[in-house]
Amino acid sequence: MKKITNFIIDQKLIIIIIVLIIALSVEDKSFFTVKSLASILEHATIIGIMAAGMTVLLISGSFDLSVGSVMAFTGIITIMLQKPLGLFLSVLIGLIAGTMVGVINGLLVVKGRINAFIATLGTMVIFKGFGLALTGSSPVKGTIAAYQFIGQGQVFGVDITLFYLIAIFIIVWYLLKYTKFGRNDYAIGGNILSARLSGINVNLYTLYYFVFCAFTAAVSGIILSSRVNTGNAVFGDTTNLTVIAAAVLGGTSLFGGKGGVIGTIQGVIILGLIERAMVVFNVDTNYQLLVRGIIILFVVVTDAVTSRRKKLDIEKGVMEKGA
Amino acid sequence: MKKIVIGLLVVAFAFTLLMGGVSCKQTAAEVTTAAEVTTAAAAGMKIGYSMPFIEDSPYCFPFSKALQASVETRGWEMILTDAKGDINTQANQVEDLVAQGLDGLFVMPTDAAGIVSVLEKVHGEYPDLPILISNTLTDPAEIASVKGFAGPNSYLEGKQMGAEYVKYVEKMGYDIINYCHMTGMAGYGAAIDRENGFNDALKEAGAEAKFNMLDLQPGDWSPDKGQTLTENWLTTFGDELQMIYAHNDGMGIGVVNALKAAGVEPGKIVTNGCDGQTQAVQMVKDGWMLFTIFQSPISDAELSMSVMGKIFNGEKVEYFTYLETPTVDASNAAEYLPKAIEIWGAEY
Amino acid sequence: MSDADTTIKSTSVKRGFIKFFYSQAMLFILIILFVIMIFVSDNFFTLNNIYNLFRHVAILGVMACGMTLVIIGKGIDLSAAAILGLSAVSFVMIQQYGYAVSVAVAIAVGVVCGFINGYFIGKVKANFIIVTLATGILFTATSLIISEGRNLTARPLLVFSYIGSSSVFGFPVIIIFLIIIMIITGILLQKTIAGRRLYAAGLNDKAALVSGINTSNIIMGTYVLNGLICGIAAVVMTSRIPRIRVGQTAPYLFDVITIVVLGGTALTGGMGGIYKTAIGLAIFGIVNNSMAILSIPYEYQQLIKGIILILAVLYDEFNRRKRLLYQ
Repeated sequence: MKKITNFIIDQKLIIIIIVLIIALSVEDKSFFTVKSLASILEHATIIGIMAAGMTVLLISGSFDLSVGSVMAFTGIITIMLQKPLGLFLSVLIGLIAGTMVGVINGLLVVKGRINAFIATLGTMVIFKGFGLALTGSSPVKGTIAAYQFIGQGQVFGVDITLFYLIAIFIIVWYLLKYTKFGRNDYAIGGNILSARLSGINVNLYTLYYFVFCAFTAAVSGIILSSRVNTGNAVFGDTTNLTVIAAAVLGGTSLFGGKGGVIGTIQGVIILGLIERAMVVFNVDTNYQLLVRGIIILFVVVTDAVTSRRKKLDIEKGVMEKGA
Repeated sequence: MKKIVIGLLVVAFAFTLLMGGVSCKQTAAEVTTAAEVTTAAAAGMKIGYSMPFIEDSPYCFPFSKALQASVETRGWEMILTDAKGDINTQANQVEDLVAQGLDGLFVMPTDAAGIVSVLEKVHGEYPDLPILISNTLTDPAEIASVKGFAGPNSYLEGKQMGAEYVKYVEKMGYDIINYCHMTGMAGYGAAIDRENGFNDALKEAGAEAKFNMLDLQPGDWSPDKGQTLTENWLTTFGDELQMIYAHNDGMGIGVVNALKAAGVEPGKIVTNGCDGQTQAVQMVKDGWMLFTIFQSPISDAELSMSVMGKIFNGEKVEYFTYLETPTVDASNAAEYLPKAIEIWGAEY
Repeated sequence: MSDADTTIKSTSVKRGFIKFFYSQAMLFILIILFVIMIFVSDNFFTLNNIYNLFRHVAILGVMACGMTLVIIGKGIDLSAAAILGLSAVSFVMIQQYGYAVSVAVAIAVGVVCGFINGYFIGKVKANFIIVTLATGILFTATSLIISEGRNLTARPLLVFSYIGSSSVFGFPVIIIFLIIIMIITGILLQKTIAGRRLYAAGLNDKAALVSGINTSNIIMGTYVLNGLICGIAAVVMTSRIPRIRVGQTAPYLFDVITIVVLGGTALTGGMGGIYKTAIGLAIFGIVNNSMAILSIPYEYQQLIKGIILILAVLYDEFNRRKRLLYQ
């Protein structure tokens, strides 16, 4: 019996996904189609890509509150540069600008020894203000029609954004599993002292992770601003917490050393399914917030309880075996 | 103990899902306001309404309630979404809504410019679906993919308010008036519109030179910011300050509260509101506010519904159907007070 | 007295002075900012403006006291602003039944919310960031449901607006109230056994556990107290600003955290205190106030605030390292 409960709890995310899909399909006959299921992922692209980058950073034991601002900022720079510099250059410079914020974050944390929370809080506010100042507090419109293809194009009948999402997740999965980049990530997050002692350049790699996280936010910024063909400093006001929630929901620990993109994609899918459920079930808007809050609380609490139980079990097992 | 906690949470989780599902099936059991009932030729339609905010907006909340009442009278089915101020969420929700198979779609844009490409995409996929823009104009205002716009015009309201102040300046015979401009939230459409409308009204009346702007700050549509900003302005500008132009009632009420606390006499520093909330109308009546603009969320909701009803009936509609937004000033405040109470409720 | 003795004495005096200098980094920043502002603006050093400065941040200051407790315990409460909102809404809606009842309700709401946080974080040991994130959402949802999204107005009776809006011999009552709360929390932290245990638990919870401290109770207690303080802050807030829009409290959260961290209380727990938070509050207040009276455009305000935050924290870190050199 215990084995079964443990198994269910381990796989709780997949089970929640299956339950949600079944519920949605029952309520809405047209849900269980390839197009409809694919649209869940398509809509989740922006959050998903940022969540992948955030996962990498979280594993190393830090996090980044400025991703929303980076996303908006990248979009603004790209759109504002379209007229003078053309499509390709504007996208390139936009990406660089957004990724630069990651460099700043990383330097503040690694060299300035500032707590990640404060450092990224500061950059979040700075770059939002910067974005507002550049745009004069009003939206800037895109001027190149072809730009919209990035976020809105269709390839083989599905949104192109689906491919971005899959591509980024495969890349991050590979990085985490098979490269030094990934191994060091877990090492640093697991125990920073041992990581240093084993010769890992903790400072350099932490910087890499901040840069990577900002890079994914910049990519999302390009996709979003292309989808709506607009740049506005208010985009991304609410995204920070959703992104972190998706990663943590997927099992990535906020304290570092644990997690991975497989979990994160599950977290992203669950959040996407919940959003769809709100529409399909026509959930009374009064209760939508409540539902979201309870779901997040539910996952976190079971996670805390089960990880303690697992630890106790392991300890018990060790004692019994007479280690 | 932990097992009980987990158990409770599972129950709560299931319960809220169930409750959410059940509450949608029940029709909104609100008292229907005196809404015009279109002939039942358009009964049984399924519509989707994408809103930028619902909760946490004293405007959008009664708006959504009025929608539900109106839909009930007409015998339509409605799915309501709340984008929580995020354009990406709204884009997703609009796409999700149309995938449900709708007869009509309403969109109240979160971002006036950003929503346009989404609408064009949706129109391309579902060319027969009539789309109506509600309450906030798109940028550009007229686009090919939608059937039209119904609602108040924030830009025109801005002009209305500017005109009122021009009238005031002429009445008082001022050569110049010093004022502070309290905008809504930085970067959001309605605030940008009310700022531009105001400035254009001054230009058109040739009165630009008479208005000297001391400062411009966003009040975030909130009474606490409105009050705090006013206190700061009183400190910085002192007796120089004669007027504060606020973009909505929420902030305007904060302005008046600050003036009251500072012991300024009513009317010495003129200010205004926009929306026509009960307390604002009361303040106009008492002389604290020069005027407010009556923008009934109920009439706004009803207007968009009736325009869509006409579209369903196959009638031709104008692109722009503007909601009447009368100015409430000292002369008619008394008659608008009961109307305001009806919509916004009496104050606690 | 031999020459050696005098040399040693003077070196250690000098050392002590340097150590003091580096440990009061934030105080010096505060003084410097203050002096700059006096020169930059005529309006700054007026009684009215100084009162305004503290009036505007008084509520944040009250909340910062509660947040300091939580942060010393190596946690954070991301639902604080939501608790403030919910207490405020409850307070205003119950006001028709009388002052005492409504204050009791506001505080009770705060305590219950704090207890929910404290239970999941202290007893169940769930992750404090996500728990308070989730409870923040829940509390906001609740306040929206009960207020139906409307703006609410506090009753215009003197008793409701006294704390926030009145003055005693010209000195705003709200500032007196702030000082009282700070003194009480300060005493709690420095002079009680519970306070010392809190520092121990925040510094190293395993060691504290081993020495017999009931860390889960202590941590739970910080969240409950924070909820209580937010409830009190809600009463004060509505007495200063009689009209509430539920969402208006959301930006307060980051401001409160900024204040605590600016003062020098580290997010890693185990150190800090109300004195530091008070300095952080004063710095924050001056920055806010100066940008307002200098009429700096909103866009640049955000930029500047962020840069100041980062510079201040960098400076604090620089001083911390210097201080260690002189241990």
